[in-house]
Amino acid sequence: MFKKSTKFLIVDDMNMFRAMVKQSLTAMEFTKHFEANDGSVALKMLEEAVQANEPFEFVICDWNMPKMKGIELLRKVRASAWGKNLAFLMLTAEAEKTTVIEALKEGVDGYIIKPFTVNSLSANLNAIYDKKHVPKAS
Amino acid sequence: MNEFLTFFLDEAVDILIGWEKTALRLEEDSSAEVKDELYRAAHNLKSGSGAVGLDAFHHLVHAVEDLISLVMKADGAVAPATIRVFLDTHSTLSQWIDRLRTGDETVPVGEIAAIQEALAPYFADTGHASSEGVLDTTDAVVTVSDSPVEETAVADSSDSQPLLYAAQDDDVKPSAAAPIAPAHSTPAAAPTVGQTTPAKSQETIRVAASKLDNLIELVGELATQQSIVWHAKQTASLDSEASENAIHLIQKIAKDLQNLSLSLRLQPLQSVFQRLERTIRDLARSQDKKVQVVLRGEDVELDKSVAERIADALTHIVRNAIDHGIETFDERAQSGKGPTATIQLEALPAANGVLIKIIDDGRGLNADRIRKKAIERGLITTQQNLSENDIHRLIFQAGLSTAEKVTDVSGRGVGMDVVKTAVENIGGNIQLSSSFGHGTTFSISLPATLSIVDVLLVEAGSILYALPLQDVAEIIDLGDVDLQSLPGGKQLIRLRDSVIPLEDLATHLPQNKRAEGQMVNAGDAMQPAIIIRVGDNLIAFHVKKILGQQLVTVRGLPSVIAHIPGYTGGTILGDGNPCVVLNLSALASRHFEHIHRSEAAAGGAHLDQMSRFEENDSRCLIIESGRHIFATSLMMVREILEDIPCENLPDVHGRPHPFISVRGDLIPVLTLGEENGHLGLGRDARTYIVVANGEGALAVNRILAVSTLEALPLQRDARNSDEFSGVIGFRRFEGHHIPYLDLTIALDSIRAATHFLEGHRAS
Repeated sequence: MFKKSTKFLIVDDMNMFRAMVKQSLTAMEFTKHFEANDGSVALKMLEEAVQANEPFEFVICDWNMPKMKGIELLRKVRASAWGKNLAFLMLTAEAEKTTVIEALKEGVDGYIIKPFTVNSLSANLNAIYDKKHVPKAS
Repeated sequence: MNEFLTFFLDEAVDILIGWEKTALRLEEDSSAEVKDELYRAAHNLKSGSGAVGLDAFHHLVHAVEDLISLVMKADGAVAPATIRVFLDTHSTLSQWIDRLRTGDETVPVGEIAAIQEALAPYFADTGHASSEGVLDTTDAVVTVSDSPVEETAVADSSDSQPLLYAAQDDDVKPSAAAPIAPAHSTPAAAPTVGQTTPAKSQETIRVAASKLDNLIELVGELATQQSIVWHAKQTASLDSEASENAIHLIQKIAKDLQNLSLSLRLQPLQSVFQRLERTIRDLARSQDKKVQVVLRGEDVELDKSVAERIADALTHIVRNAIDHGIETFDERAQSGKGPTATIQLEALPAANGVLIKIIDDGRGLNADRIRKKAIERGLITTQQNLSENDIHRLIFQAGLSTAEKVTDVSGRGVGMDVVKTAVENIGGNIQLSSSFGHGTTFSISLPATLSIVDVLLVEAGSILYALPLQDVAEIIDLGDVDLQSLPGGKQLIRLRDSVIPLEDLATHLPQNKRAEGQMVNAGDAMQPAIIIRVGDNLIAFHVKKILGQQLVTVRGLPSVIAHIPGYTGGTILGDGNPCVVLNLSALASRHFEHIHRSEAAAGGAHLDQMSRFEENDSRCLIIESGRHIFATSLMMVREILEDIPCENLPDVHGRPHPFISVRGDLIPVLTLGEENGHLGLGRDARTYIVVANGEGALAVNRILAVSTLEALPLQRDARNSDEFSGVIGFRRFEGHHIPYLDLTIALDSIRAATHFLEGHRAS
């Protein structure tokens, strides 16, 4: 399980979805969550947090946003010096195969289709935790 | 999930505004960006509505989103019919959201069916979406490709990715069948029962973050000043200069706080205007008329509830304009006009609120025909001698419709009288000017906010009333004017060049019926009267006493008295007593209508002795500065500050120059006459007029009056005209011609002459 002080960044251009994610995180007793309404804003926040030495540990990001789309943010994060291993969950209503594939290629850690429930979000967080922290049995 | 419904409904309103704008843009610009924007609007509405369980809404948007996808996949201009579908969907969705916001969950089954019917042809029965028909021209059609490579990739990666909520068991491509189900299946799917009722949808409002920042800043300042006072009290020096300053500042901060809090309810008129624009386009199209819409001042802000309550009235005016005002192509050609008519929607900030103008260049009102109709209906008599504008104003009376025949557009039995009532109910008033053959202009002034108004407290009969200041054109002392008593108890006063009727306010108010109309005797000391303007007409209401001016919170009236003409609300005064707030404009216009009627009954009397002021749409501030008296429009003034400290700061030449500090901004203080070398900030000048653009403040001795003044033609040879730059006319004030200044020009010229600001900026 992620520790309760894990620092989350919620990225969605719709206020409503940010509020829903926030509520889910609160229900899971996570206390640190921040919000951005576009990929471009999120990127800035992520970079600033790294510089301030308080990096984000988890990004929950929408797919379709006006200025910088989720996939572009993901690409930039993975290309950065600090974001190779940042947990990144894509949250979207795009149920199309092509988008899922694209996100996977860019190294997304998880993918949830809107609308979601607290349970589905929590299951995904746990799965991502396992993937990142439990050593592969190889 | 339903606690998020409010979130969704609020966001949906914004998204829909964007939707409409984008759809309209598509007509001219079919670039990928525009299409993408429309797609995102639909997409967000779809996913949002899905998440809050508005299933019927979700399905409808989903279906339209598919059509937008088709449009995106095809290059080239979009067919008007397709744009039509987007716009129709927009209006259905907007109304739906509006209903949901009031807690009404009715699913618009008929409209959904109509949209789905319109969508069906795009998704041919092959089940495969076709781009044909989306396009305007026969441009090449790009087909959707489902790359096999990607298919295998899915299989591979989904094995190794337990997190993948892939779409395998969903219908992957939501192209045809599911969402665009036959119309009649929708009612069954409509989840009217399943959704929980939103608890009387909590009204929310979007506020610019900068306003909140200001608010917090002000509260911070308040705390600081308060602690200074507290500290002073501890050290027993309450009348020290520091604590006096702090008390002063606290007063000012309190006022700023009040203004700022009120402004939180303000919203730009953009959404209202866009809705009107839409109505205009739809109607024009349905009547084969070509209308160009010009929007001005969409960013002017109005209280949200005022905007909501006025929207229908505006729509009605616009409908009328298109239905009756705008001519057909042929008619326009015959009268030498271009084929495209123009309707301009304009919002202007006014002294106490907002002025909305709806201007069309159609055929204008036909005074002869209105007059004939009014005579037929017994509203006036043949003998009555009415000015053209009086005749035009008859359209505001119930039972006068001049449309030759009832059309399905505005012939619904709702006349302009309803519009007028709606405007007056929220404390506004409506004016109209029309020129036969050239067009009509409606001017609607509205209070910026419903809840808090600046009022004048007056005593009439033996009762106290509050009169919204925005209704008051002028206050006069009847001792200063010529008074004539006519046989039959009517009184008239001569005010400057006008003769206007004088009425006792008390006799117009029901509770006061027993108070016999008081006659004013010429020599009586201090007989205040309040002048109200209705269209071209002025009327003076005599009151017993004016007690002062005050900001009050207006509340609704209990239903037993709410219907009383002239009553608009109630308030609690500082001493705890209740007080009725009057709508004087409504009262005055009732009076004039009553005169028309009673004259009609009496066979016509003499109103023609009433001369009228020249049209002059704004109120003036009359200012004394040094030895000058001049007038300026209230519209050019941002605020008037009194008794605040004025600091001298060095300019670039090292000379001290006066500045005042307003909410942290330093505003240079200038004095009229400086450009001619008569420098000298009057020692007594403690009143500062900050110009509308906030770039300067004029120090003046005092404000003499706020009043509507008669405009005089600009004569170059008039005395004093060269003394100030920025003189744009003259006004008549107490028998004198006084210059009428454009304050911005005046201050600019002073500044240029003193080389002051450039220097300061450079330093």
